[in-house]
Amino acid sequence: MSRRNGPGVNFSSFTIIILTLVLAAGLTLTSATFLSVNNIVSILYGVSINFWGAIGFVYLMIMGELDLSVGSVYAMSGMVTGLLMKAHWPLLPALLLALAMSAAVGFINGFLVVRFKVPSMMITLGTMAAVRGLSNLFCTWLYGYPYPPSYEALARLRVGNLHLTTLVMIAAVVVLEILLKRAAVFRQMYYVGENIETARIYGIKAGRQKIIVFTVMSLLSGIGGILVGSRLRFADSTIGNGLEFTILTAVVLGGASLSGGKGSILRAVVGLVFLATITTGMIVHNIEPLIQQLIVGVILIITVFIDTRMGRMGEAGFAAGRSGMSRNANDGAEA
Amino acid sequence: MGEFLEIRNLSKNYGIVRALKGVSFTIAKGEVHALLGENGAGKSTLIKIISGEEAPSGGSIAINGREVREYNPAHAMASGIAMVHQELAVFENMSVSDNIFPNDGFAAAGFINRRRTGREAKALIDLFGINIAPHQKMDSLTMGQQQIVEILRCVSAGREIILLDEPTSGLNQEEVKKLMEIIRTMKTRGITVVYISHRIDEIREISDRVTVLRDGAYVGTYDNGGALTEMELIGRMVGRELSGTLYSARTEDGVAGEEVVLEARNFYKKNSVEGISFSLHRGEVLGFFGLEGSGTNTVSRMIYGLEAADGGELFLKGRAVKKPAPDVLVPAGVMYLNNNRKNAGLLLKSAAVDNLSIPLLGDLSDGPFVNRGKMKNHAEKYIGEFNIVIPSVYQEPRYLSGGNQQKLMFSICMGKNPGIVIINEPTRGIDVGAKGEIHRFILSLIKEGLSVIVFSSEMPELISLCDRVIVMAKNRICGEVPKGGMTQETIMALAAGGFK
Repeated sequence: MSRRNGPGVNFSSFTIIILTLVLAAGLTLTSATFLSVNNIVSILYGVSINFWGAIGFVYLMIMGELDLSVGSVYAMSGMVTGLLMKAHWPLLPALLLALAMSAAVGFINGFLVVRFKVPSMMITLGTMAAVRGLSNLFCTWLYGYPYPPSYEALARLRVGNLHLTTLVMIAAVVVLEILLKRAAVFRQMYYVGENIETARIYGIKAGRQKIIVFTVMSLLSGIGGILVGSRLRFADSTIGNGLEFTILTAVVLGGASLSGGKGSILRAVVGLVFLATITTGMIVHNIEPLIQQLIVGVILIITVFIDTRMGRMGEAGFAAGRSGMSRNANDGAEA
Repeated sequence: MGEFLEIRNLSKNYGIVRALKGVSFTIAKGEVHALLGENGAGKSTLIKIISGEEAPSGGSIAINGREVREYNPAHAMASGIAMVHQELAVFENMSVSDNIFPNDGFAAAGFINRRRTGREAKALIDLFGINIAPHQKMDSLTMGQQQIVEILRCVSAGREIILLDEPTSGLNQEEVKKLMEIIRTMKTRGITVVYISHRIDEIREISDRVTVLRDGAYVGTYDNGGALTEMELIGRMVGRELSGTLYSARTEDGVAGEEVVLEARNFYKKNSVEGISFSLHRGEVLGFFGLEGSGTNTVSRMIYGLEAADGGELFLKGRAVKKPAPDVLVPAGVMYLNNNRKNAGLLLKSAAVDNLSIPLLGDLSDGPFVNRGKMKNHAEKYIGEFNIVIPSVYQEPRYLSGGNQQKLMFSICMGKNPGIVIINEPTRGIDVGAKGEIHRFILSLIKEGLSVIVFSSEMPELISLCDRVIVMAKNRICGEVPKGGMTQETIMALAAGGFK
């Protein structure tokens, strides 16, 4: 079996990008209102807030884990910020404490998963419920309290036409994607994700690394949650509902595998753009919003189906080299 | 006693490995027939064919004079053959009686008749004189009791031939005694028992006849009238003549110095191994031998921190290692070669270049960024040095042969320039050529001052590699064989005898 390392790039890396472009082109042709500056800016704005939860999610999926508590942490961190400001804290310390609490949730997730070898799906399902309960409580305390202007302004900073959050996202994607492909620490994550025992035998501190990534995951979700609160201007108990689902779908659309060892920040963000574009498309075509969930569910099933099918074909040696690592290695060879 | 199960010129090939080479013998109705042989002698392959898990490459078996045409478990079961595996297949959350009658439990109109099931189970349990209640949950039983329940299930289903694969490997002495009684009871009921073991004392106690296999070939079948001595059986098991050039006893003197580079003191783990103490000298190859279930695998994993020990101290060059774990030992120059490369030891779906970089990614980086040029050079150097047949450094190990995978694992460990290598089964499941190469690597490495611990289930391999062999039996170290006087007989006598 020869390696498929001929010139050209693995097609599957671009699948989600091409799908998104096709979808956008289709909407442009069928709707007069889709292709407008406002629409694009608003899609990117929404993505730039969910993006914070997707970064850590990509890292976790590379390591073969996931975090369902992401949406609850989003809700909690904004409300903690709000509560502290209601208690007359200045903005910065309020933000820091909200982030610390978010990170603590991630640490607990990681610690339990690593120490007791429990599947992260179960642990984070538990913290998802627990943190949601906590934030619902916070929400009642915040009833009728509009966030102060200094907090509210955070998500509204603009540079020209674009939101600052969008620009930060674009810059972050470039940097993080390069780090993911080139930095030694991140490469170790792929090793852990493909086979944690092999990684351990050769001295990689896999457990510690997982706890750190879980913590970072929730810390970044905390940032996302602060932005949601700022954007909304008040506490709402539905913040972050179903976000874990959206992010999981986007990350898998972006090439991550449930069995670990694969994933890309850039493509996960494109996955988010894809999902947001579908939503926008349904709005411009006046489709019942409740059907959105149905569509997203079907997309997830199709994606997971393709992932597992190609995975199996890969086992048999038919599929092109889909393993993230060998692809990276190939990039090196071609460079 | 008539001929009941006839094995006719049976052979089995796995690729180029000939696991069985034209074995013929017969098993009589109602006898206890033991199969004896070293690890890899072909016992397991043989019983897998009898129980229908594998089809033979040549030859056949016949039951009651009728040749078996289909080799699958369902057919074997219908012919009255039942197999009790080393890994028990029980429903842990269910009761003993449910496990004895797993299928219908005397169902009426689709409902299980609990009372009748319990009664029948009780009758069977009493018949065998066992102290278990039918309603007890399986997971409240010991391993030995669970195994007995599994045997009762075979009896209850009316099986006529019961294959017991290493039935005593997880049992304590009391339980072994009980098992022997049960086997005798089965015999009185006309059930044929095929007993696979390498514990010679048990075989001498329980069996009517013993068939010995060696290297996949039939050596002979012997009546156990009480005249069979242990040394006789060992001699037949290992063979008088050692096979040719591959396994010649090591001739060159070791470079073993006085300096102790690694010392283990009193490692133990509850219900597992105990009293494990030994030391490794610079430039020495220290071997560990034990038959299956003797605890050698646990020891190798405990020393390296892959399995938690309940106690024990590890010293590297006299300095205590607080908590032995790979992330401490690898930087200290200790590497571990895993025995099962499918589970751990390789990233099967990542490029070879990545595999080779795992333990030393930091050394192959410029600051925080990996240097792909350095990675590639490193990979090419070691692939060349270890003679790995691979089309490119980007090939994934899953496409390589077992021998090349093993050599790749070796080169991953050696890339880190370790001072000590712990090798768990250096040549499991690889062809003869690659075996020889790996043996030569190991011997050339000690000349450079490396120290090696080899855990192997192949005695000839240990004899050709080691300066000293520590022998384990029944979860303890039961002796040590120095280089002079290292023969298969001396080692096997220790391993099979244990404490006597």
